[in-house]
Amino acid sequence: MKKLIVICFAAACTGYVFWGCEKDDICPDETPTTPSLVIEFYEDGNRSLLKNVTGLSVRAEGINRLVRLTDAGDTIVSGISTIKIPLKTDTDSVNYIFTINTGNTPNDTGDDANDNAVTFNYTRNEVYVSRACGFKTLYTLNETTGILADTQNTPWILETAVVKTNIEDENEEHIRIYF
Amino acid sequence: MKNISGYIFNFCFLALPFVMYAQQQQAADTLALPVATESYGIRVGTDLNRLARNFYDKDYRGFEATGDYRLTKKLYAAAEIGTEKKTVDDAQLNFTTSGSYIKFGADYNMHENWPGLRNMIYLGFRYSISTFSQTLNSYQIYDNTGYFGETVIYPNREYSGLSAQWLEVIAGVKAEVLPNVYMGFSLRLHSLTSNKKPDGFDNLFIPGFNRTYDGNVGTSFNYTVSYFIPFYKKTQPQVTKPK
Repeated sequence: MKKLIVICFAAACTGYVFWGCEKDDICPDETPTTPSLVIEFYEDGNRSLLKNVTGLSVRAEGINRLVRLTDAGDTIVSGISTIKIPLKTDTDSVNYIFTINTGNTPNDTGDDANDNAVTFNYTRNEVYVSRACGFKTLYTLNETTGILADTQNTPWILETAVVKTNIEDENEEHIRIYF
Repeated sequence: MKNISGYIFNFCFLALPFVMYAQQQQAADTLALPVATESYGIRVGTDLNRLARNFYDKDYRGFEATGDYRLTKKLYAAAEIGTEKKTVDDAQLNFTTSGSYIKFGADYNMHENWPGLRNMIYLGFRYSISTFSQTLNSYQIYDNTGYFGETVIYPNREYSGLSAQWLEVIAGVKAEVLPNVYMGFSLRLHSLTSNKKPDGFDNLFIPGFNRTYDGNVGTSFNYTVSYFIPFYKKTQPQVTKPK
């Protein structure tokens, strides 16, 4: 009888352990990790009006792939006014090329292709998330030099603005581009 | 009785019942079961699990000394003391924890031993305290876009003065394998009662507790060899059972 008690106790403890311990080896998708920069496009003539882009693609300097601009993973977008792009986790600035009216392939410039070089400047802060996710980087855009769009060679980007300097999540817009 | 031989003979006859009674009394004493004696003393040992780990796990250094002291026939006061240094190399993090711990409590033997045997099947508890320090060796920034390459940072950040306390419940077995030499193992369930975490990181491994999980619960296992040093004996009268 007494041995039965010990065995039942050990079994109950084992059960409690497996019920009480949460599996924490995988970083869940819902966990907020390093946020991307949220950019919204507006009409330059009427600054409160959102403006949809046509054939927009974005590529970082030195990287051959296009950035996936939406949650669906599109690299060339039309008919939307919001995109997300990543910032670098190991340096305090990143150079991108924003191309409007892109052809169907990354290297095909198309008839009305227009490239605009854009530089982002920011500071980084690494924050611990969990055992499975490790650390994430949160960014703070520089007040005046947060976004610098190249103004030479008939740029299609006419004006830019930093709306939110603290980049901690992807719920609000951080940057406005007027064209 | 006219002669002395008759007198002697009669005397023997009279004495015989007394002699026979004395014999019977002695016989009755040897038929009763011998009175059992239980040894009381201290048992000291070491955890072989942790000792062996020093040889097969290059990221581990540790040692645990165990002890228990018999209070009553079934109750033992028990304690463990140890030190551990472990480097954990996870996918996103690499850190080293180093520190020591002490656990004290009691074990209760649920098992009824046959005369002469001294084994245990026990339940017990411990209150444990650990003090330790951690070094964050490297970490990877989690970026789910995967657009730029992986970034690994080597901060070599040290956090010291950390501590944790927890309660353990134990189920275990100890058997006497050689005279005064015992081997045993125990399964333990831990529940944290206090956990001083470092600023900007977490306690992912605590000496004596093992790895932590999202909740306050943890487990460990201990496999010991110990030696019994007897101090004194106590007699425990055995109840004679009629056959």
